[in-house]
Amino acid sequence: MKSRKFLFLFLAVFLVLSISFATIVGSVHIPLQKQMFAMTNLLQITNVPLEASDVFILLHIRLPRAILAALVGFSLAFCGTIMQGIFRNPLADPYLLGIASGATAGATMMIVLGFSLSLMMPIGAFLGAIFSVAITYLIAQSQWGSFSNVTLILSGVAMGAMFSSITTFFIFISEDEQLRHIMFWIMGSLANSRWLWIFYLSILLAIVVIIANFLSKQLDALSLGDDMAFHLGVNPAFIKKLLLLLATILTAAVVCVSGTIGFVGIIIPHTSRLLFGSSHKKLLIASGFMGAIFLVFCDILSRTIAAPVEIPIGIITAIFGAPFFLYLLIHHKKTVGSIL
Amino acid sequence: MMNIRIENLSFSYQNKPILKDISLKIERREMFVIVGANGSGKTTLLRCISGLKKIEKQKVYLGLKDLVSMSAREVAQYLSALEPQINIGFNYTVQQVVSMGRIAFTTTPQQDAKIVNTSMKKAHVEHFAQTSIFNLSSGERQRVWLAMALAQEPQVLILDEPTSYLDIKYQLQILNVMRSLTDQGITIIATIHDLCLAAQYATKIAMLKNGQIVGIGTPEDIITTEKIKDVFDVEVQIYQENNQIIGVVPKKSQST
Repeated sequence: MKSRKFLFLFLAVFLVLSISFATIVGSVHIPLQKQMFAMTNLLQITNVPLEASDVFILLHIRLPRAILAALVGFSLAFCGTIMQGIFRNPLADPYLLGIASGATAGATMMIVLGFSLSLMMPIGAFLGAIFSVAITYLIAQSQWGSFSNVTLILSGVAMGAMFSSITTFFIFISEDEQLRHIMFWIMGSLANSRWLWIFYLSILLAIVVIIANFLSKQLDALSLGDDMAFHLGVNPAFIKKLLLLLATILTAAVVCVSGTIGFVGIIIPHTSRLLFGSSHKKLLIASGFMGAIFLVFCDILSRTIAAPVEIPIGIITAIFGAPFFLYLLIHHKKTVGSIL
Repeated sequence: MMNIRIENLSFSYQNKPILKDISLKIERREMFVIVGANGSGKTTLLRCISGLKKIEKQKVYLGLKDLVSMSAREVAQYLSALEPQINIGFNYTVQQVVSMGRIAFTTTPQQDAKIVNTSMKKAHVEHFAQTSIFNLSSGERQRVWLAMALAQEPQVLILDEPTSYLDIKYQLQILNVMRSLTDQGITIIATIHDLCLAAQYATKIAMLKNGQIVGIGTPEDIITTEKIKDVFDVEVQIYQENNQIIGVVPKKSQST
């Protein structure tokens, strides 16, 4: 109990430091001192005169972007952990049930229709994601109540393939400028962060975290299979439906603000499981923090590695995430071998 | 004192009758063993009792309560059940696995920890507490599942093939633990394929054939050459010592 609280506190402090670091680093150098004053000025604790451009970069570009990176990373890793727990499948990730392909098709359609920079694009993505998952559920509905994991996953794969072909069609008919937007979106981006999105995403994330954390023991029981979970006093069909619904809505919300950022939702839950064990009471939150820290640093790299050009964050998560994961695999061969 | 009462239970799957008009009573502290050929309905019967199969009202009673009116949580507070083959998806320590037995309860973490420790001791796995479940042998894992079921502090323990996949040493170990549990007041309902072990450890045996009970009684009443011929279509020789069955051996050169 104490060790869990200490771990969460440590990860939270590390995350705050990571976000602070992210606001300092960038093509325009803003020293830490200015950053601190910008914050204390904002809270009306101090009143130190600062250049307006520095304040704007800190409070309206870097800080919201770093916080959004943390929220997106937390959400993806958290949902990935839930999905792996529900499906007892180490290959499950938040995009499993066609969320990513549905969102991509929705966003691509909006871009081709000329809504590249308006709010219509994330709305299209969100509706595409929800629509795709809803159809996936409907296909698997014949076994609803105690739906089969395999039917649901296969339905998700089929829907994914269908929506991918729709996306390909929109790419085919798009113009060059639209294509650039589409590619940037497909590879994931945090460039369009807004405080309003941060506000909505924070509320949604808080709700999902509270409910999922309350059900963490039930999620542990599901790792023994539905029948054994029932014997332990869990209603597996209800728990799975509820957690899937929460993870789907959160992932769809994340995808609509940041595009599809791969690797975080599958690698971070595994890494966290290797580092902190499989008990979901500890794992869910720890995995969320790890995802948040990971994505904040990936975003720093994506902004700075080839500055002033920004590299899509999906490329960074794969390039730096994969070797780190391989390192863990090699050093924990036995445990991971057993998991897989 | 009655623990389980079944009244005229029938169960069909896809219009195929699996259990036909089963009625039986299981008393407290009994080691009630169900035997029968493959496909005779043993596992289905256990699953009906543990609530996994949807059954009609007023067919199965746990104590005085109709099973159908009980939630998964209420059932888990009364009985614990283990599936014949349990696969765990991720890497947990033995203590974490055994703690899963406390999910249905609202006791304090301190009380839970005490019960988990006692359960591990009863199943002789306390020295593995911090070991990964993946690092244990099948026999050791079987005892861990048993400890998890005991952490539910059940009145009734349902075990489907608890000795399958185990060598004779581990089979005896599990059966001895089961016997000691009945001494502590727990009722055990189990299916066991090995007729000799069933006869030696059961206090009562029910023999199933095509979903129907063909006999309930003491091992010596049920494990007879005639009944085994009838149910399994196999000729056996039964050896007894002091009126207790010590061997059930198939006769040589019979075609099956």
